[in-house]
Amino acid sequence: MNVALKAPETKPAARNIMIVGVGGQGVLLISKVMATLGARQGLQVKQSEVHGMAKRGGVVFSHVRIAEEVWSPTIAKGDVDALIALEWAEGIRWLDHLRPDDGVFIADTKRIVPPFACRNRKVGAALNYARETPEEIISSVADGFALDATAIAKDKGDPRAAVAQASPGGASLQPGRARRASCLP
Amino acid sequence: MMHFPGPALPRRGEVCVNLQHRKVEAETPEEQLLPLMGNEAIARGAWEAGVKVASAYPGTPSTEILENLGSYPAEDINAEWAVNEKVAMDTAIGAALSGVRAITSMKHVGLNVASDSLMSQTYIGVHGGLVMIVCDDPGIHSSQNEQDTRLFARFANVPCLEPSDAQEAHDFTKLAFDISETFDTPVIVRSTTRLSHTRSVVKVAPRTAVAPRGFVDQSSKTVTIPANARRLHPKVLEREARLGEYFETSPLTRWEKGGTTYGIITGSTAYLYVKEVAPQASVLKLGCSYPLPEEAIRAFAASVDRLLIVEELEPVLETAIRAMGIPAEGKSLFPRLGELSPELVRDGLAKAGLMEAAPARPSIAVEPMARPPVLCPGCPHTATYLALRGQEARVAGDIGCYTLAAVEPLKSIDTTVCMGASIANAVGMWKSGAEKKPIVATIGDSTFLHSGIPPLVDAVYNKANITVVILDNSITAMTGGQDHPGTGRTLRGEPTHKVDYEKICRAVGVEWVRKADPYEVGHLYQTLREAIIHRGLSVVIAERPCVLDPVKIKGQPLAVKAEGCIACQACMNLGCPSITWTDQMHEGHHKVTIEASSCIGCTLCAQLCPTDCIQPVLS
Repeated sequence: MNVALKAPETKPAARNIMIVGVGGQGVLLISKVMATLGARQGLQVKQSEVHGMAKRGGVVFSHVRIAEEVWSPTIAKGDVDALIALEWAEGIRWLDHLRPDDGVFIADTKRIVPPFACRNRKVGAALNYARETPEEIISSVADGFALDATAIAKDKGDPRAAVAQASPGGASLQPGRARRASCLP
Repeated sequence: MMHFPGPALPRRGEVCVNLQHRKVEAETPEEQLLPLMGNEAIARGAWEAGVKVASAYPGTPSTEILENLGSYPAEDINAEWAVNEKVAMDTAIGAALSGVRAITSMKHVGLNVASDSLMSQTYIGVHGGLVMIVCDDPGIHSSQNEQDTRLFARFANVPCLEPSDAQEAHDFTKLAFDISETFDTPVIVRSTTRLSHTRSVVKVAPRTAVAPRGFVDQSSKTVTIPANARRLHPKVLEREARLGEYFETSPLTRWEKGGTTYGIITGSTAYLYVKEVAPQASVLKLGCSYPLPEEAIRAFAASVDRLLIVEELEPVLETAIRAMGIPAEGKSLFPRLGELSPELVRDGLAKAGLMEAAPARPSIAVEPMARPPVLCPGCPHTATYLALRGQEARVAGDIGCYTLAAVEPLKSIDTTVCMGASIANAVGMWKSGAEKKPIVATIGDSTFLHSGIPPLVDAVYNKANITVVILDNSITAMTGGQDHPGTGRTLRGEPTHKVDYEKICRAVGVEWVRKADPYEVGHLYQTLREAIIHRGLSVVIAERPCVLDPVKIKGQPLAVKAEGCIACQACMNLGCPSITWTDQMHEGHHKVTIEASSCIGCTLCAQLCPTDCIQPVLS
């Protein structure tokens, strides 16, 4: 499902990027690539991650900060310029880290349902997975894209390359808004 | 005291140890700019400093330091995994006493294991430089506690350098070897998860080879009999004073002048948060938290109306500075628990009335879903704890991936204390005489080698009636798949002797030892049953390689025939991440499906399925 409700507008270079997903999806690899690209542009870069327990199918998130001067390795809550989610519920988890006025939300609608979500043994128990629809989420953020990036990437030949290939600006470090991917309506 | 004059140490103004104030540029053709993780930068700094011996036991967030050291040429560095942190420390000490530069790295709790060596080594001092990298884990991302290594440095009277970013991690590590040799002391370089796992651009240089100095025969220094120790202790105190003097003028102590209404003393990554939030503030950045440059601190305090201390975890600086008679505010404003952040530093400054509070953000009404870490699809531990769950036993656990079996749905571990605690914990449960359930200790292969063998000897010696399960997945899995003496490979992948756990058990006097394959759940269950029934000590070795390391195992996946599924949830109770609910229901419960891309075909779920509806995908 591809949803793009808001028209793009010109705004300053994204400096604070948060990449989130589930262990094993490639969050850290994408972050490393972004940090390396930023460094090659002669900018200061800090890319911070926490792994260990997260490797085992848990929550993985990474902060990438690129600018002329970068101090803190982490991005303060509410200061994320772009939130890139490789998994739907993980994107929703970090929504409140986005800049409320102009933060961009880019999420794969792919669902990785954890065993924890299937724990309730009562009769008629519902799956305990994020219930918000892409339309609801996209309409609640300043600027957002919900993509079936996995399908797009599969179409292009490699499902594991999902968000990196498919997301508008996901893999771009150019200042200003990146071009929209052709897959969007 | 034997004293080797090391290279002349830099004085303030001679070198810029923190390059944040200017654009980082390579100045000579040999210098390069590389985006490095803190741990990679530490390894690089040690290699450049001419380190000859490196030894460590893996532990998040320190593991990558030795892994990276092992990627430098073998003719430069003997880098090796040790069985535990104390052995690693003792190896580094032996090398340093032989006159070469040596390094050991560990996580904060690893220092507890190595502390016996450190507490004596601090009296002995070094010949070649000896540096310990200790990585703390504020916020307890992947540990059992959040102890503050700075307290240990004070306890052992050894200098504690605290880099704030990867460039400093690189520079401070190099400098630590010079300090070690100049002042005849082991040096701790303290990192944290946030530094170890943050990548930033680092200016690197070529390696400077250091000629070995050889062993110096001076038993009055290197043999800590009481008569010698009594002579060495006062020298440790003299050294402390000389170090304090050095840090007064060292570039590690930096005064960044700003406003005079308030000033902040800080260091490590806390410094970065301060600069982010209050770039105009006067800052005294301490690159070393022990011993302190008291004169510099007094001068700084006198220059501002109000003195604030921003430090992560314990009030180490605050306590020391107040003990100097200087009024200072710290933990009344900033938390003593967990990691600091720009938000928390700002909150503290706002609480002090020095800054406006962060604007309130509109909250987004979504409840985040719980996604705790889980054992991998096909993890052999899943089967072992499934079989244990059916034994109604009291289970003493240990440190490793398998600690995840302490929570639902496996929920079959009652205690986890620290590395190697399980077997002796079980002995104590038995000796209490109060435990009615059968008592089982579970311990991974790497943890068994780390600190599980002495308690096994003890359990035999003291005739404990317990069952020990060695979870042998042939790797140190939790930290990302490191080799150990049970894998038959060294850090550099060379073949070496492979430990035989059964022979170890038999050699220390365990008579009842059996092996079982966790993938054969019925047989494993039966073996555990017999082990528990056996009077006296019994050992079960559950043998099956990790599915991730050293090679990722992928077999033919299984699939659920939906029409046969009665939604009994027997397979769901494995907690396997490959098995989830479908929207189809059977008598009010969800039927299940298997994600073919992640299923490795271990067949555990098929063994449990009462209707045989889990079957291989036929290609």
